[in-house]
Amino acid sequence: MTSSKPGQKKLSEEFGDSRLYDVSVRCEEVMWREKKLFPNADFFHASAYHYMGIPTKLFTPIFVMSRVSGWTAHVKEQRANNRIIRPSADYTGPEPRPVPALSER
Amino acid sequence: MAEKALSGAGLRGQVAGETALCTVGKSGSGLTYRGYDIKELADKVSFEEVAYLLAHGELPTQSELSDYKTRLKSLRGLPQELKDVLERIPAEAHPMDVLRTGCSFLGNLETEESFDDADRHIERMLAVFPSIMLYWYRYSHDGVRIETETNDDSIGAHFLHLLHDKAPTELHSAVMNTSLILYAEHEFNASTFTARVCASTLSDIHSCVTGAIGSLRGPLHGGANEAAMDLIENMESADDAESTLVGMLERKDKIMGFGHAIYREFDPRNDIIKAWSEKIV
Repeated sequence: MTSSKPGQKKLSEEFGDSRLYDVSVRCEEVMWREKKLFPNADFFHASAYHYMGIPTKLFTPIFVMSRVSGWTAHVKEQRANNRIIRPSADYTGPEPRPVPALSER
Repeated sequence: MAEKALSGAGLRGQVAGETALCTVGKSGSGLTYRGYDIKELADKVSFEEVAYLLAHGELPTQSELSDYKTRLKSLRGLPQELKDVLERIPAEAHPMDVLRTGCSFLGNLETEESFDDADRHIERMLAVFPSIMLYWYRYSHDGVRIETETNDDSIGAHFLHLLHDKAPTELHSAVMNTSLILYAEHEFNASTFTARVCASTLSDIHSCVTGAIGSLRGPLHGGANEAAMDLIENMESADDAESTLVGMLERKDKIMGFGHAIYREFDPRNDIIKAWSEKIV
């Protein structure tokens, strides 16, 4: 921690120094070695948010606070050149058939 | 990056429209907002500049930025009716449900009557979402009614201030700034496509955003950072992480926070947040 404010110092002590960061780095190494999988944007956010004292349940709401900028830009872009989005589907249901009477089902 | 053809269910690899906002998995670092590389944006500008860029097409001049931030600061207050609604949502509620309700209710109080007013409503949502989230959080968890109008310079600092009851350090503000930039935009992901489908019916902007929040709520989209925390918080050391992960892989457990639907070799956002994560330890 670079801050000398008491609240943040407590944070650092409470969460035990660099454990979460060290753990995250090892996870990255293991996942690459074993599966050739890389961490996405979310993975190191967990430790970064934690070191700022942000409760886990508020992680995704932060995503909203940010992404609302992108969503609304897309809304403006859609409106500027709009046609209602209405794709089609491949049908996988039953062939046409008669409706049986209630007593015959 | 995305050289391999994507195919299969879920419209993977299919073009569903045009956008000038963002490229994902193209040349360079693999993520650009209106032509600017994500690494350069994260290094040089504020989230507010990125939000302005996305909304208006170009980065703001000094005076445009100053006016924009002044407007955002002035929009942090909550109407009493919205406070009343937030106070009735229980502490056990899912925070994404709180935001969804908050956004939807805001649309009742401040309805977008004309598309010409879109920018005003967009700025309002940017400014007030942290207030909505933390008014509910602090009331339901700490029993206090917080004042959401602060003088913090940025949206990230505003969020941290409301959460901790004091202005954040410069380092923490900087980390939040970067984090908000990294999450700002990502082409036709599920929640954005939801917003566009809703917009295509010529619905109002609060409906578009409320729907998008609903899509982001699902564990396959948003929530991966929370799932990553669930994974690492009980690991006692790097060696413990090693043995835990190897065991999970042997059991073919799902491991969150790795891989991506579009990116094939790396996520350009990872290096950036990893560097800040190391700095903030």
